Amino acid sequence: MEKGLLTKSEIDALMDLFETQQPRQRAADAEPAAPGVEVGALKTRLETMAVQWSAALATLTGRPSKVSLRTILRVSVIAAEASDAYYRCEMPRECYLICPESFVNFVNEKGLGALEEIPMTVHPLSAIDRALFESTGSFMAEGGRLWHVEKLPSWKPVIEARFDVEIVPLLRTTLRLVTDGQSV
Amino acid sequence: MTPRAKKTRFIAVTSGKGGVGKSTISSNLALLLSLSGLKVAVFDADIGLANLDVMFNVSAPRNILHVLKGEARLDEIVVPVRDNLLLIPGESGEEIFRYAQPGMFERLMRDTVGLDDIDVMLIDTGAGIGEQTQRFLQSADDVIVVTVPDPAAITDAYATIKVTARRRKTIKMILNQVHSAKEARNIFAKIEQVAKLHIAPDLRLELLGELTRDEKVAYAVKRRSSFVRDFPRSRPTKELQIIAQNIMAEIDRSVRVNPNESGIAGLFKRLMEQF
Repeated sequence: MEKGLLTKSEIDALMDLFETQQPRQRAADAEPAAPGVEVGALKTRLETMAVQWSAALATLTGRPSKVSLRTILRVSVIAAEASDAYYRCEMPRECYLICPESFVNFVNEKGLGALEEIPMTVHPLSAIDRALFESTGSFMAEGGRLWHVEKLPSWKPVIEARFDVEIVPLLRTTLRLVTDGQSV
Repeated sequence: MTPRAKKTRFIAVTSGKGGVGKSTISSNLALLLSLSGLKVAVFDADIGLANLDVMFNVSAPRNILHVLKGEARLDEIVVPVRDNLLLIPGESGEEIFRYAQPGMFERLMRDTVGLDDIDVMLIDTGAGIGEQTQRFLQSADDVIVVTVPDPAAITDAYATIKVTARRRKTIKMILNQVHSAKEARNIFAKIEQVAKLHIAPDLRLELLGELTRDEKVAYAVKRRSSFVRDFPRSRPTKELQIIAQNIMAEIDRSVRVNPNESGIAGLFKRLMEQF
């Protein structure tokens, strides 16, 4: 891109489309209260996972990447969301990763590029499953593989965690991990 | 008697970044327009990355560069893809301009016999805001910027719009790989809002249409086929048909002009005028 072609206000305005959080806004969205003991243990595991994700994404994209746990919603409900990609971990207990489609596109393109050979009806999982789920170690390892799902089971009680993901200055987005109580 | 020919509509298809489906849209759009009865040519002007011969699954041993070097005639490099659909293979846009000489246009004019009745020429340009790509954009009647709902793609598409708007007040967009028409409208509305505020209040952006994300498109590309042919009832095909209809609505096939305003010669005349 031509140097200085776009102003910061132009970029910020465009990135409003992608849940872009400015530092000031992010601080306002911070976890409202200190977690209890149980949540604290969960938080440690999720923060460890975020570090693993950072390393995996950096390897994939060849760029500095930072994933940080933003907040844990101890009990939430799944609401239908448009324009995101839902991945279900292949394990008896339900576990979902919710990625903004733009993030999936970016990682797939910058990471591995070519999509896997696919039957017509199966989503071409490529970089995301390897980078994120296979890097989560014991937390998700039992799941093995990920499958794309059309939509999440609606309004089911879940534990939900949100992660801020920064790969390049222009790509700051939010991943969500949704799982039932047994998975953590 | 002065020879008469159709007035060719030059439509440049471009993008801010690569990999957003520009060539897939160009090739499939060309096919739909040709099926409607229009005579269509596709000029592969993707700088250094010309690949439409691969997408059309045809062999193109020689390209426009051979013509400019005097190694082949224009009619020898043009590849008939199907009835009413021609491919003008490209190689390197940069080299094209290196060989642009004063006598080139006259030589091309002599070579355009049989190629002067083209209704629509789609110019599949390179991605980005480079000087060569901009020359093609400024030479076209219409500019279509393709993007996907990806932060980097949208930012680069906006940058392309910003540069192109220095000399053009109407730019069209196609939103590719969206989940819904609503998503496309939302993204377009944001780009339009930012553009009017930061580029020019009188800039006219038009959403030509959207293509829903569908694995059938990638499947057809891998088979070096066209999704509109392989999956005629798929949602992306229907959406591209609407886009084709919008384009056809703006083409006045009744206008007949001098042949130097038509076909590939007309395009190169416009390109030369920018030097």
